[in-house]
This record gives sequence, structure tokens and C-alpha cells, in this order.
Amino acid sequence: MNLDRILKRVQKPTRYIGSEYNSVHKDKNEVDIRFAFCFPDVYEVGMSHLGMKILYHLLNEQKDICCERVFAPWVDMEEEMRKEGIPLFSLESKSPVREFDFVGFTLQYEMSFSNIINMLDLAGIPLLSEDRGEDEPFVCCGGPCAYNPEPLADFVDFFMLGEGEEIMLEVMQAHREWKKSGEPRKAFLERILKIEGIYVPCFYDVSYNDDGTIKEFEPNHKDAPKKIKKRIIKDMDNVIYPDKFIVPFMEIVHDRIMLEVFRGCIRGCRFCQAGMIYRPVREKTPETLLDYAKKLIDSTGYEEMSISSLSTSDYTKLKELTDGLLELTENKKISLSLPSLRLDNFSMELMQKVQKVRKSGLTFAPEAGTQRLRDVINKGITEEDLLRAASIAFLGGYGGVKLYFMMGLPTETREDLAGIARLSEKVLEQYFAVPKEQRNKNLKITVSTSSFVPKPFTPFQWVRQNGVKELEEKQVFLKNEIKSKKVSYNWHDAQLSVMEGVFARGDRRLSKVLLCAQKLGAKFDGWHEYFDWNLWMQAFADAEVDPYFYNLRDREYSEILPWDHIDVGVSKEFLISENEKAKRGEVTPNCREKCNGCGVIKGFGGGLCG
Amino acid sequence: MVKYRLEFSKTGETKFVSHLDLVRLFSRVFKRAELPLAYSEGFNPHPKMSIGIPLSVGVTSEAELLDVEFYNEVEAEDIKVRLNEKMPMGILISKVKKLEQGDAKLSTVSKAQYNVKLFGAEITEEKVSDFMKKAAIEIEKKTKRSEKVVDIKPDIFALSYISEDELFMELATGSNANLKPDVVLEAMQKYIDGFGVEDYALHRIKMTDATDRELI
Ligand code: SF4
Repeated sequence: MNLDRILKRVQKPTRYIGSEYNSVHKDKNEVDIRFAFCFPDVYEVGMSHLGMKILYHLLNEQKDICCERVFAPWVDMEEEMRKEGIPLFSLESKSPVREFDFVGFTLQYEMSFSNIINMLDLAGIPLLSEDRGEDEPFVCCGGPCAYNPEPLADFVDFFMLGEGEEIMLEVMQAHREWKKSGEPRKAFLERILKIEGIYVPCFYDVSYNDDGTIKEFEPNHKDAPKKIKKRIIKDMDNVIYPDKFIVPFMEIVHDRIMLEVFRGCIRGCRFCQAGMIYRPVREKTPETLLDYAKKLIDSTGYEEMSISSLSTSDYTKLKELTDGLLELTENKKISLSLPSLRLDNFSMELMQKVQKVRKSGLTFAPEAGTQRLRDVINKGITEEDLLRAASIAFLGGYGGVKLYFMMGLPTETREDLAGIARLSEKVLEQYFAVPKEQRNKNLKITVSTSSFVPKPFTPFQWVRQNGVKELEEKQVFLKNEIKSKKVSYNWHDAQLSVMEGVFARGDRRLSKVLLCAQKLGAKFDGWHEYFDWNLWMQAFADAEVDPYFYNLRDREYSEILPWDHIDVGVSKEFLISENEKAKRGEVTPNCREKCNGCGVIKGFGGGLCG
Repeated sequence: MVKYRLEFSKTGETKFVSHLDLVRLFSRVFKRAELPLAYSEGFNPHPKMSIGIPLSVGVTSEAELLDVEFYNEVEAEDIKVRLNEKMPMGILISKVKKLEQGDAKLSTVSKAQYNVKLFGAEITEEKVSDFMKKAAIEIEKKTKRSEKVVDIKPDIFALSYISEDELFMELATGSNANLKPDVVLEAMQKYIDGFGVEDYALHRIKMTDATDRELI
């Protein structure tokens, strides 16, 4: 391999070298199973992902398994590799990915799908599942986008649904037994049908109605379950968590120790897929977390630590945890950050903890500009919450405040959009209310809007998404509404959000589109500079699929949805009732105030929603 | 405060680790090794440490120098052992020395020696000595705004033939004059008829001050 020579030519060569501290190197001749853990994005993004750290550790803890990392080579590197005939390789041993027993992708966002296909191509692995021979690796996927696996159905041999710590090991065990048996490839896929949470697309048939909607989705194998139930970990204090993180040479996006404090979210915002699919809430105790924090500080030497979860300030023992963490970090020159703060319980005390070591900008997410619309999406915070939090921040010496909103939400009007501008002006007033001597001179308020993408397993899974034109008009409208020079406005690419919307609620017919797009050169579509709308339009035309069928129409409750065979615990009845409540602008209390009977308790046994 | 000077090697894949990344790497290694690394005062405290003469990305070395300050004294051998235990593959501390008053500063480094391995090229002893006999060795140096011709001859202290695909170089290094071995190779390709290299491997062997004294 001419890797050495190539690495001298490409940008950021440390993306590809893989001998970082705490990386695991095993002799391939001394293990039985080789697992290539693939992240369909560039190194610095993939390495920031907590799930990958957990599963890398989990697999490598097994004596007979070797897990190595693979990332999407950046565009310059891919070009060199194709020129020199170097196939996609793993970082640790630089082995061709095609040699592994498993090639596992984690699906974090829809716009990384094109990278998956491109990586398979670069690996020299047949793209379509049905074309893979006896000696080819099994291609599998997990992660949040696996909850609607259908757009990838033709490429992937099997999906693992839900949290991976247990199911992964069960699949590995099945592989050991299958290997001993000497049975053909297909028999392995049949064996794992018995594992809860496994979805093998080739064992299901789909038929369609004349209007393009799904007529029937049926198993074609006796062992394939009609509904596939996601897996969750019940005991968060005894589940494996890495006591070592790989410490990269280059700076990665989240270059720090991350402590996962809980899974799930009590809130139930109606647009939020994570808030639904990760239910129920399961916390780790402060003792467990402090123990990990100590080990990770010692094993990494990192200068920064963050605690990670959805809506972190909902952690019931936050004070106990942050006090304990500060004790560990303060005299070691480690800074602590709490990324996900909610406006309604934002306090001076909490803020001081965050800034004790370093003062960075604060981010708040009111999501919508008026109370009416915030009620529709069940974002249970008020204008007072935001203004109070902003005031505390300015009083505490912060000058930079970022406000996040969504555009294109169901029932949204011009008034709601104008409300975003009004709200930012009121935040500005809070700044000027602080005495001159006391406030930070560098005032900067940033309003940022993303475009709403309806996602499976949310109450809005039936609603029509805004089109590109609509969204762009709204962006211009808001831009004109924001009058103050102290407020800067930036927005996400509407085309990208619309394409994300197509794939989020897509079905199997999109596999063909992905295939066409890869041929046209689609890659890194999550990266603004590489996303090419016209290329995708061409791919849809080539595949003879209408993209707008998937996002520019309201769906009936009676329609069979492409992900109906997946059971995330939350019931369809609950999602329907939430959507109806949204239409009426009714809010639903959070899970700590009152259980709203979403169905997850029923599915996973009581005692989980404390 | 106690000051130490470390010598380390940077080989294998770690040759691709940039200077900036290396600084961060070391501050983490000191933490992992639980050594009493000193920090600057102020709002954003940073470790008191400096890596002498930045090594270009892609070049290996067995003679990199790093000065560091600790809050209290630690046995030199102990520092070496503890750091090497926590080091990623490819970087290894070879010497540790406690700095005393009057020891030369890293900024006095002015020469560096390199071993140069050539791939896809052949050179003869004669060609090398002819090259060195030139009165001036001129190359075009591009800066952001202009291009100018400079004579690099005074910055080449030694250039000698080891074998048909291996050279030894001693070049000016440091803040006064700094010449990189790849630039010399470029000049050789310009001046020596029929000499072209496909690829090469550069390895720094030693750094000294103007009087050929090592700093550790
Ligand atoms: S079962 Fe009740 S408490 Fe538990 S997640 Fe669902 S709504 Fe919330």
C-alpha cells in the first residue's frame, strides 16, 4: 500500500493513522470475529460520537473479538485511494474492510446514507445485500436512523434496533455458533431472527397500492416477527461504560470526556424523535458517574469534561453530580460543561458552575416564536423563562447568547415567525437593563433557525413538510423582521432539510435512489459544500421515484407507514392523541408531573418510569 | 518551579502529527502521568511547556527537544518512565535532564542533522560533491506576496553521500536561518542532471547549537 506517500499529500493525515492512545490493537490471527465499526462521516465527527466509544469498548472487551474503526475518508483522500487502488481500510490494522466478518454502520443522520453506499463501494463490497457471496462480510446497521430502516433495506443484511450493549453480544454469540455449524451465509441471518430487536429486511415483502402507499408489509419467513421490538438497557448502573476513551491526535468536534447521565427524556416535545424513541428515562446514579469520571480523567488526560444527555438539567441529582464533578476537576485544570440546559430551570447557581472554569457562550432553544406555537409543539417553556434566563446570563457576565428556533412547524403563521424577531428584541432589552459597568462589552445575539423535518415515531409523523420555496420565503421574511444590528441571523439550507425529510420518512423504493445517487457521485451530503440538490433530483429521476410523495403530503392515520413493523414502545394511539392535542394547542405535562400513558411502560415492564 | 528538558523520538505514523497537535498531546500525557505540570496564571491557564524547533509533518525524528516546568521536583528517570508508560505508540522519551541556571536555551539551536532516504532515485558520490562545489545554490522562494530567488548554499553545512539512495544533511535550523531538507532535495533535482525523486523519507538525527554542542 502506498499509504505513506498518500498521507503526505492529503489534508489532516492524522484522520487515517489510528495509533492513538487507548486505541486497541489485536492480532487478527488470534481472534475469531472481526468487526469493522464504520462511521459514515469524517474522523473528527465520528470520533466525537459516544455510542461508538461504548461499542468499541464493549466488543474489544471480548477476548475473541477484535473491533476496529473505519471512517469515511475525506474527499481528497478518497480521490487518492481510488487512484492508487487502495480499498477502504480500518484504522487500527489498515486491513481492507472487506476482510472483516461484520461491517457495522451507525446511522446518526439521514444525510449520511450516501456515504454508507459510497464506503461499501470503496470497500469493494457488493452494494446490494442480495449480491453478497458466502465469504463477504455481513453489513449491519444500528443507531437512531435505524428506526426507519427502509431506505437502506436493499443494502443492509440486518439492523439492530435500540440500545446496542446487549443485542450486540447476542449477535456475536450467534455468529460463534453459526461459524461452528458450517452452515451457509443465509442460515446466520435466520439464526438471528430469534434475537429480539433484529430486523432482516430480506425476510419481509412489501406490496403497494396504486396511489403509491403501502398495501401490505409481511414477513416471508416463519421465524421473522411481525413486529420488531427495540432493545433497551434496564439497569443503567450496571451496563458497560468505557473507562478509557481513545485520545485523538487531531482536534475532534467533541474533544473531551463525555459522561452519559441518563437515556430518554421526560419532556415529550412533539417534533423531537429522540424524545420518543429513547423512552423511558433511565438515570445513572451520581456514584456510578463519579467513578467513571475519575477513571476517564486518569486514562485520558483530557482538559475538558461534559455531561451528556437530552435535556441535561432534568437529571434528578444534578446538584450532587456537579458538586462531585467539580471536586474532581477543579484542581486538575479540567473544565466542565453542561451542554443541554433547559430554560425553565436555568439558575444562577447552575450557570456559575458551568462558568467556574471557563466562560463560553450560552445557547437557548425556545424553538418557536410565540406561546401558541410552543404549545403546539409541547415545548413547555414561556417567554418569561427565556427572558429570566437571558437576564441571569447577562448579569453573570455573558455577552454571547445563541437562540435556536425551528421554521416550518405545523400550524405556523407569519405571526409566529415575526415572534422570533420580537423575542430576540426582548432578549436584547434584558441586556440593556443590566448596568453598564456590569455587562459584558461584547454583546452578540445570534438567532439561528433550522427547518422542521417530520420524523417517524413522533406525533408529527403524519404531517406535510414545508417545501424548499416555502422555507426560503420564510427565511427572507424573518430576515427582514429582525431589525436590530445587534442580532445576527443565520439559517440552515432549506434544500438539505427537505432532502432529509424525504429520507426520514422514506420506504424501500428509496434504496434505488441511493444507488443512482452514489453513481452520480453523492457523498458527504450532510456537509453543505458537498450537498448537491440537482444531483439528487437527477437520482430521483433516474430511479423513477417522486421525492415529494414522501414529504409534501399529509398522511392519513390509517395509512401503513414504512416503519410500522418497528416497535419503539410508544404506541400509535399515543402519537395520534398527541397530534390531535397539537392541533388544539393543548400541552401535555412532562413524565415527572404525570404519566401520559405513552405505552412504553406496557411494552418494557413496569418500574422504569420512576 | 523546576525546569526539565526532554528529548524524544517521533517515529512511525506519529510523523503525521502536527506541531500544534503534539503540544496538546504532551499536555495530556503529563496529566495522565500525574506529573506536576505548571500552568500560567490568568483566565485561560495553559501548561508551561515548549517544544523547541517544530518538525515538519511527515518527518521522523530521534532528537526532538521539549522544555517543561513542574511545580515541584521529580526524579529525572522517574519522569521518563512515567511518561513512556502513558505515551501513544511512536513517541518515546529518550532523555530527561533537570535544567540548571545557565543551561543553554532551546532558542540557541541552530543546526539539525538529517538522514534522507530516496525512493525511485539514484545518486552518486561525484554528483553530490559537484553539487556542493557550486558557488551558489539558488531556489525560488514563494512568499504570500512575491517570489524571490535566494541562495541556500550558506545554510547547508554538510551534504554527503551515504549510498546511492541515502544522504546525510546538516542544515541551518532555528529562528535565524531555517532550511528544510525537502528544499535541498528540490534544489538538487534542479541542479543535478537526470536526478529526480519519486518519494523520500526524512529523519532528524540531532540538533545542536552553532558550536556543535547538543542541548541535552
Ligand atoms: S410511560 Fe408514562 S412516564 Fe413513562 S415515558 Fe411514557 S408517558 Fe412518560
